[in-house]
Amino acid sequence: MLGITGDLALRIAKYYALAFILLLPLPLAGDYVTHLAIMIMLYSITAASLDILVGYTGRLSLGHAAFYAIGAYTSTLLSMNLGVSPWVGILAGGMLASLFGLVLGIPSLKLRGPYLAISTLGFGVIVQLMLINLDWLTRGPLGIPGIPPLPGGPLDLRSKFSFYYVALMLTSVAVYTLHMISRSRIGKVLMSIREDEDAALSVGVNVPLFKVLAFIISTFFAGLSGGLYAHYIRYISPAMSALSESISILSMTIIGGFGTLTGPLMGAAMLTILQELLRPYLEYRYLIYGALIVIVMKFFPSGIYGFVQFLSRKVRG
Amino acid sequence: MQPTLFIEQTILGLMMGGIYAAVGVGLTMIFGVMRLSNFAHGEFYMLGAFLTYALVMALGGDPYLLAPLSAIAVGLVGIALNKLVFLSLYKELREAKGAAAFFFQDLRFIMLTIGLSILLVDLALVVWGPIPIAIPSVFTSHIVRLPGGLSFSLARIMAFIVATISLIVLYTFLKITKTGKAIRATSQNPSAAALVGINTYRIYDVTMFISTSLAALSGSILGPIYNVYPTMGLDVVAKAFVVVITGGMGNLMGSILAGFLIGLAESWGGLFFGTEYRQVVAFLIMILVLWFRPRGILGGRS
Repeated sequence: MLGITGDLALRIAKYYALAFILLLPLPLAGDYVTHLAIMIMLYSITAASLDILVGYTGRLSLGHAAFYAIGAYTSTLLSMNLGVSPWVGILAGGMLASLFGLVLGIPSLKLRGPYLAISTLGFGVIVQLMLINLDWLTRGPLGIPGIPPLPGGPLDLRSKFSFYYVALMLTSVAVYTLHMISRSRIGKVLMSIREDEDAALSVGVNVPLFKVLAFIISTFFAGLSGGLYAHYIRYISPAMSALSESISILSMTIIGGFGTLTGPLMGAAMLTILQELLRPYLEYRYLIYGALIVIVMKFFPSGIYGFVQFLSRKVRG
Repeated sequence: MQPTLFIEQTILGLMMGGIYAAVGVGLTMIFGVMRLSNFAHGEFYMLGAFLTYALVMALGGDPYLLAPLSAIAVGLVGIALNKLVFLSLYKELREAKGAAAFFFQDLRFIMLTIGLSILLVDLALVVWGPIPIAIPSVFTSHIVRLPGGLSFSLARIMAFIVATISLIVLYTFLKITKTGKAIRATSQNPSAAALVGINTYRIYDVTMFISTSLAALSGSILGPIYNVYPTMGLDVVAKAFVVVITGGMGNLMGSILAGFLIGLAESWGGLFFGTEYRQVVAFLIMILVLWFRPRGILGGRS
């Protein structure tokens, strides 16, 4: 029993350790590259967390950015108003986000396809409107500037250089945890729900419980990355919960290749870099971005990761 | 609260409801016939408004006269996109089996339309720029005064009339013409429709044309009242989905009813809770409907 899962865990852990070591010297390339790498990592957590919901459970969400925003606001408000340590705040942000995930997950149990997409979209819009209109708490559309940085003991985490290593560590842990969840019994049950809900029900799977669980897990990690973002950029605004943010996260998950966890990581990296590369062509940026989504979805529905797998199979013969 | 204000808001809400109904009907038809959740629907609304603006600038004349022209042009764009992007996927879909396969197709289609939406918004941004434009019309400055201190601009009344007429025309078309019956048959059961000799792929084109031109028409007739700008479709598409889900997806009458319901509720919601919560009211109604009648007020498909 322990043998199989233990071996697997060891093998996965080796890959993560390797990736970790490979990424270690990146900040030497300068502040700009470091910042980009940090953003990619934050988006990686969010896109991978959405994959639990979309890729593994087959529930489409167009409101994932709302949980990201909830995490960011929770941690910010706790640390600024109550003097709570940002580390505790980030954790609390994840927990509050997953509480909202539970609140959204229960009524969404019976919904699927476009119905679920629009309900989650509505949730995102409502959260954004709340953040805008509850201005005694959130300062409304102005957003909150001057958020305290993460306390890092001897390290000054205001510098991109040192934040990079903290982010790398936390992202590795978060993605590894998501990976282990997806490989565990929970992940397998979620996939069985995706493949055939009725069949899963008929063999005694508690389908509603696991669907809600998928919401809780997914939104928890989205909240965490939102909190990290808040203490990194040190400015947040209601725009974090905008539909365009949710769509951008969903694009990363799906274009990368959903249901794989590795895909969303690739998607986060590719789309973030693409956005940067397209920055000089300011006006045409979204033209190319939109066209890319259409082309990938039309010709490579299993995403970039699926395409890479296809190529590697070809090469091996 | 003044009764005049209440009555005025009620009438404005119903007028807006007519537009919501027109946009929603197009969206619900696409879903009913093609099983496509078209997140780019708002962009056809936006394109219609911009084309009408371009026509007014080029030809002169009133937007309410030129709107049908731009609606037809956008409808043709809809057909072209359908042939270019979706048609081959529908042929693929015929061979797909199992719940998971359908989920993946669903997701793929939704992402495709989201991609199209992003692309079209930026296209409008490149061509027409980000600054909101008002389409000049002689009707905007005409105020119709009714007894009791009520007053509405003629443009709003025109918009309502055009929306209502187009809905009646569409309804009659679907009821009595052969193509209309073929559309309804395809919506009910695509394989049975194909079996009796209906070319369902052609029906998809026709449906796409009707749906997109209806959206374009709605955009054109609201253009003189509200401004025209590249992201105007994004605000509308969410509302249109709320209308369609509230009415039951694929249900035409449901969408019309829900359009008026949402228009009215928004107006009243703005009156009672303040205008900043207008949007929340629409979503709350949808959530309540989903909770108690998951298939919409008049029933729809899953």
